[in-house]
Amino acid sequence: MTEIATRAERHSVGAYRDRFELLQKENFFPAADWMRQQRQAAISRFVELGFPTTRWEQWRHTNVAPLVATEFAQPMESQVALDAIAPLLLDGHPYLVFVGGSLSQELSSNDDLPSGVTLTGLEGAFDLAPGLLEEHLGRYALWDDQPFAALNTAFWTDIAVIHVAPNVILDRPIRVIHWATADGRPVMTSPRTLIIAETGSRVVVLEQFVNLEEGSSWFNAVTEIVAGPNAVVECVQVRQGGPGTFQTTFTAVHQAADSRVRLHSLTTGGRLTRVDISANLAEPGAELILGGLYLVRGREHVDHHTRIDHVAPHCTSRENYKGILDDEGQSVFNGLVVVHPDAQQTDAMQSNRNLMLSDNALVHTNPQLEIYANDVRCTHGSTVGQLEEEALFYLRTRGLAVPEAQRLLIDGFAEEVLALVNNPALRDSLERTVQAWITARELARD
Amino acid sequence: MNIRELNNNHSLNQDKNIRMLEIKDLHVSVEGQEILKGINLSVGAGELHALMGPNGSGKSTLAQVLAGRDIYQVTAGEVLFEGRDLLALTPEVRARKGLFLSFQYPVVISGVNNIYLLQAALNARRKERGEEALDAVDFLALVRNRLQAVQMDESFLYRPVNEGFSGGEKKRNEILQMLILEPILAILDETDSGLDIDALKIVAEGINNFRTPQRSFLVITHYQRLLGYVEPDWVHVISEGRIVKTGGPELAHELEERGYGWLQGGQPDVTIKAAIGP
Repeated sequence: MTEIATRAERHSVGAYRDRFELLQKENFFPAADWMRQQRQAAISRFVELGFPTTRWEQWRHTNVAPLVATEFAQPMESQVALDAIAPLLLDGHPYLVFVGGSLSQELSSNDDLPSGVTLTGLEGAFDLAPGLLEEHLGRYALWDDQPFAALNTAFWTDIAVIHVAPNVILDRPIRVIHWATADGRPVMTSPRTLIIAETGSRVVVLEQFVNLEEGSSWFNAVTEIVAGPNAVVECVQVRQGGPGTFQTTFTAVHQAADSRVRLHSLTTGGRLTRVDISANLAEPGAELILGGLYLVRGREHVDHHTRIDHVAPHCTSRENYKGILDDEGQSVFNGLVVVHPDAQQTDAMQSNRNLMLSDNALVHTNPQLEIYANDVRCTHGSTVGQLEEEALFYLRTRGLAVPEAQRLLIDGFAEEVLALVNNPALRDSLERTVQAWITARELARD
Repeated sequence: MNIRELNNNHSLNQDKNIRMLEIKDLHVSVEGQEILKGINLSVGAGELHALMGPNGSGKSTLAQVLAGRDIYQVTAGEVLFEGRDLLALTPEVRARKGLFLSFQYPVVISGVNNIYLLQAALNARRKERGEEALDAVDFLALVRNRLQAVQMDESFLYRPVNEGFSGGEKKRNEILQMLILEPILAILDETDSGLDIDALKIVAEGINNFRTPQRSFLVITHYQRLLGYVEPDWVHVISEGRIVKTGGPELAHELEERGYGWLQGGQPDVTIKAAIGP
């Protein structure tokens, strides 16, 4: 990154560095030695990298200047009424609620768990096996060329930890809700999540980033998912930002032999959203399903950059991302599948399809394959299209009014990705979220 | 208001002067090219009319215009549906008032289950008639009954509309929709094309059992074969955007013998004759 940063960027980077040093001096951050070292290295790297600009290859179509120009404060301790959070909860499901990046124990419900399942904030995580946290935290979400992940690593104050012991099965979805605080000024929240599924275990997690406030706020999140041998993990990440929300999230997946991971992403709001996913199929027999749905309207901008590394042989990956864009919405999809030299018998499929509901929406899509092995099966493709006039007419000749016919077609387009969600409770919940978006869109048009 | 409308419908049907469908001097263009050049056609309640003609004669255009496809421009003429201006209605209102088009090429709707569309369509039609939406039990009973009539497996209900259906399955699915929606005017656009003989018999039986003194049909076909199973009251031959001949059922047989060529002043069309099945 040799280019000269603008004054605003330099100033902004310096401001984060200064704040970090101040907070570090005041012992604001949780302080194990290894954590302190990680933070220190991360803030140094962030200062070197600076904020990305559109001159960076991976950021060509996403301009974070408005984010850089905004002065974000550290979250203050604040109260959120249970009433506000209640609609997000499913009955009988364990959940953690983080407000402004810190666990709110009084809002959370994590005592009704089978033995072998730990769901906790940082404080409780020290009760886990010695060294477990150090072994995993920050070992997968590599921030060397990821300034936002580096910034999160420097600034997180609490952490959601989900640990499932060997051969323990939990099919009730665990919810982790990250709630942005609203104290009348822009706030940077740094949610951090670590999911560890040990050998032969199974777990379902819903991670939700919620900011329903009008004001500007920024979620800068990192999630690490570790699937041990033969473990099964399903994780859904839902981003429901308001019109002033910035969302930058980095999710790293590490898969041991014969593990199966499904990672779904649903984005239904936010001024600027950047989703980075990096998955490492490290041992033979691992299987990864990446599903994504982004619903973009107004002047929202959603960018997905995914990278799947097939390192070991006999691994399978399926990636299916779909976008629905209205108004002046913009989306970027950049999906990279790298098949390493030893990864023979790789089976990789990647697809990105986009539905444009408006002539003013804009889509950049760029699926990429890099293949260094010779005995593999890889396909990729992308499409950008509109609602088919013929399909619309067909439905109208069956008595459906235009909005109803459109809704059916939009629904049908989204259905393929929703069908990838294995857990029925989660699938229902996502379907409702999609329905709500379609309804909001219809109301905005009336 | 709905009750009154029902009564009106009733009295309209009683009135012999008001026809189910009346097409008067209809001219239709697409992208500046005239395709229909003055169609006149009148269908009475309970009548089954067959419209035959070679490819490119305007048969399907007429079907699409009647259903409300807006890529066609009506440049002159009018169409009355039970005495009302059909062309002023949107496609969905036409459908709710009882006009049904069986598509020549039924459209695939990915991600939307067949049963969902059937329910939405039926409820739209019932609402127009001032009827309550059917509850799930009654709806399923109705659908199962109609499935039997077209010999379709119940699993079709839970598949996306027409996705992965064979040609014959798509056509049967159209007839299934017709039997559930109970239109008063059914336009069947080459519903017999691409059907094997067994599927053709099923479709024909579906139509025959569905005929009532109030319900009218416009059966558009390229081949005479279907008319061996479904007896038309009238047969019209369309050529180059005009109806060039009208007759009784015997006209269909004549076409089978002689092809379409003689109607255009040429020789009997051997290729068309050869294409007519047993």
